[in-house]
Amino acid sequence: MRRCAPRLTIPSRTSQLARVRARVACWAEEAGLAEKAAQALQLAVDEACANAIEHGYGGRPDGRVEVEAAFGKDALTVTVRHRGDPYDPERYRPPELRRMLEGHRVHGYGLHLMHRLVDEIAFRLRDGASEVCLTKRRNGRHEA
Amino acid sequence: MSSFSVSFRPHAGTGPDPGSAPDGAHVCVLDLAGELDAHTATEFEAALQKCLDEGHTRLVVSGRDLQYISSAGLGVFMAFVEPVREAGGDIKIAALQPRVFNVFDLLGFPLLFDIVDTEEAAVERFTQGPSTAA
Repeated sequence: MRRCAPRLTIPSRTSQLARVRARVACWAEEAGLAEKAAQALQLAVDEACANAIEHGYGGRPDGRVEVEAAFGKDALTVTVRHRGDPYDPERYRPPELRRMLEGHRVHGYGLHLMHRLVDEIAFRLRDGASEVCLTKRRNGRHEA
Repeated sequence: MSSFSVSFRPHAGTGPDPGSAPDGAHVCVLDLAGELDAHTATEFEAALQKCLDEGHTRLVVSGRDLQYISSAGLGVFMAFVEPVREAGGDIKIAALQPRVFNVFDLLGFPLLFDIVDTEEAAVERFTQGPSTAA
């Protein structure tokens, strides 16, 4: 019996992000991730949820974001799923900080952080929902 | 819900007037505490805007009690630093906890911002001319 339910559904509101982080921390502990790896996954999932809320649903509060854990032998994968506007991963480019600074850019850093924080990242469309799968291995990269 | 607070105060000051740097200019310190994420970033944004509206352009952001930051918080720094520099000031960042500093570091922010260990060191930087990180 797991201490934390492996699935969490939240309304598309940024006020829910702390709930998501708390749940990811619990999953990471159950999966045996080291503290730094757990923190990295927590931040990556936070970014994925914030993107779903702010870009997928365009800030509309009536959507739903599902966050689900899958416990592998050596890794924890967290999938963030929403039914807002899909993200095209082909559009991803690492940010050019100097240019973003000059443009006073507020957004555009989260996706880059996600790529840096986890060992595997995958985007897919399934049954009309957009999914991003974030995997952290127990002996993988330990950022943040 | 995320717990976050931001407050500002004049730097205690080592210069000729209360709240002034050694060169006599006034420095405003923003103390961040808690979790700075996509939900709470608007509070930080409003506090920085208030500082600017009140004419403060020498700003030190103290992260001593900041437990967490996501890209939304970093975006606020990026949005404000150029207008502050164009007004002749700067945003210095001080006393970040390792977990928070690592996030700044992952995005290369130490190349763009002066990030130092203490509030006093941040204030000192204002007496050393234009930011080397700019």
